Amino acid sequence: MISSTIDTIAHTNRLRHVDTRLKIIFALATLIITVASTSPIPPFLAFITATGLILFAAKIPFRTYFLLLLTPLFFGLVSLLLMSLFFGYSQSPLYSFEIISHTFVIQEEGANMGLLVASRTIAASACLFFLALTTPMTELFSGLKWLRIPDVVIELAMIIYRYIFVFIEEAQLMLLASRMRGEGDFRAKIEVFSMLASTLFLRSIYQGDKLFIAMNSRCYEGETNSLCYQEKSSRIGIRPLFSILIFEFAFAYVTIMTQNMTLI
Amino acid sequence: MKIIEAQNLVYKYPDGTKALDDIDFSVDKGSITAIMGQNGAGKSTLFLHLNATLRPIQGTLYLKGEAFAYDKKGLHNIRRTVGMVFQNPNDQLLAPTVRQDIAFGPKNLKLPDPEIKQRVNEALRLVGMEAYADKPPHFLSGGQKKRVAIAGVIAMKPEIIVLDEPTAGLDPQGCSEIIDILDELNAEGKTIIFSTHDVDLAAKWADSIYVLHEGRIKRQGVPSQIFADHAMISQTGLRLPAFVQTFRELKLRGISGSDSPLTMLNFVESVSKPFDVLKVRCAIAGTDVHSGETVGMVMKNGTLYTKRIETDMNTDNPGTSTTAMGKVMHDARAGEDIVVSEMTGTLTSNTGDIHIVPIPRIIEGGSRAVDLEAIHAIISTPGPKKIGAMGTSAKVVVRKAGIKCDFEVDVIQSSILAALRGQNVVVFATGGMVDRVIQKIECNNKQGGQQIKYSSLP
Repeated sequence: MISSTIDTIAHTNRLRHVDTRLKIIFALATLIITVASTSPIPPFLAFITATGLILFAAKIPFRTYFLLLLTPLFFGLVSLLLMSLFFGYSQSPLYSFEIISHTFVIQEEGANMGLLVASRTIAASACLFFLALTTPMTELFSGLKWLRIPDVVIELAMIIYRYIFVFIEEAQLMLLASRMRGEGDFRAKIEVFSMLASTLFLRSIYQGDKLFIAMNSRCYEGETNSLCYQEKSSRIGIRPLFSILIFEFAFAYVTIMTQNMTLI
Repeated sequence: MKIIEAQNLVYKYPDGTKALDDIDFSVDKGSITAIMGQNGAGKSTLFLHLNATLRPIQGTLYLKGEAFAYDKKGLHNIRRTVGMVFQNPNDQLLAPTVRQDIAFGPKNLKLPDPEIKQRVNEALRLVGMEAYADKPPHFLSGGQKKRVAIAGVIAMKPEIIVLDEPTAGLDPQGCSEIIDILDELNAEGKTIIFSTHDVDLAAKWADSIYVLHEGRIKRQGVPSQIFADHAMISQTGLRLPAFVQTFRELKLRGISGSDSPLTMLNFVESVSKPFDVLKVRCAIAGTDVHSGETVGMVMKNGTLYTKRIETDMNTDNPGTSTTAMGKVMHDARAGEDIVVSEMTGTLTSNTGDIHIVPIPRIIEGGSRAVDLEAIHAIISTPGPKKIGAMGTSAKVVVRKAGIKCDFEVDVIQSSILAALRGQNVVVFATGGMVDRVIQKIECNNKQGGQQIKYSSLP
């Protein structure tokens, strides 16, 4: 299960004990600048930085990171292909080819736009993967509280996070149980899947009931903030904060300088 | 004093079936009460009444003599007094980390942050989960989850702890650990109510047992009464504890004491006198022996060993051995169990002493308040001895001092049994558990068997 793998990695990687707030600042600032850039060069730099941190600083296995990266890679390449075919004016064709008596033309504007979108997609994903792979959800919750996200939202997220794993376990058991009683054809598999999904849904409702009883048993009276207990957090480290800010300013400067640059 | 009481309790499910029918139920302060009965007998339903999750259709519940109030203030009061541990920890653990989950109750009690911090750390230490404080629950094993669930309730400092099948689904070690934690809580004065299918546990641990059957109370009493009622036991789908079954078989063959035994200790007491006159004894082979060989026998450190007849046994081990001889019934190598028949001579064994070392509780400073050198001095006194530790801080002290423990579960009983066999025992007992050890030893001495001497440091 990739979700439990990510969770385990987040708890065990080399950057686990770096201040969560620093990681959030780095990931979010880099993400925002990347998305705001108008040239594919800053996203490329952001991707290199995030990937370097993930693979060499946090020592996350290449395979796991690559598997995660496949999704944005796929979307990025598809949009690159489609945009370079369907965007731009016909005055500046880069390349044209014919399939079944239909001429496809790759336009310069389209290619540039596709490249920008693809690079932004992949780089932004890499920034988020950096946060997801190096920071356990449990730490992220305190980070969210520090960012002044409302308690209701955080507590809902906490309970959802907690029960994802309960239900993953149940789903795995049910799947195993159904497989043990024989593997059917495609049609049968779809039926089994629908059955599993509905059972899981019903169970989650029961689980909600039970959880509510258990919460009431511990004097829960509908107030939020009961789950957000944390021991006094330390002050954020000035030197690492400073180096991150310097990096981000430099990055923003590069972004402004390269705003009119294109690759093609 | 009755701390919680129910009178004529009736409850029907929304579909009209009666789940509880005319239940009269009362629990003494500081006692341990077991609820037994088949699946569907109404145990869980009864428990949900005890913390006012369900409201009875008829009848009244009383907390410290006052009828339950079901308004907001009343519910708050009931639920902070009656802590509930559910059977499945997944139903109860809801926070992303162990620490946050334990803090959930105290947070709801609106305690100030330093107080919450202190209670959380205390609860973590009591259940031995400090190392896992910042882990999410899905990284824990079943037994660990159970301990966290208990810690979450302890942190609210309830006077009564209600546990639905606390040992279900746990391995034997995990099971003993849970019981040990609960035992310590009970020694601190908490009242414990639990349901279980484990007849051996109920027999040896509970002060009082209720047997539920189809929503009604079939019988209530102390364990010896409950397990003497064989007809009721089979009718309600329960089983006799293994000791009681063995004892019955012996009794039917004319080897008996008076009371039905419920623990290993009772059992040994009930059969040890009749066995004294027997000509057949079990022993441990001191050397390789052959069937039909005549051997001498000695008592060493409370265990009966065979010896070759040529050796002069009286000069070999003066004081600790007595002369007896018998015939070996089967071949055995040194160290194996054998049976010796046609015994002549007498065997007497001296009892060992039990030395009790009190260890302060966690709140009183725990292991930090203990002088480890003094502990080593006690342990290094000459002569073989068994060592037991009961309660969390005693176990921590023993571990810190690097001492190997012989007894960590069922400590009192194991110590008394060892002392009866002639071994000296040192017991490290946490807080109020010292009194409990002394009480049990005196109880044993009063029954008129072999007397055990004990001493306790101030």
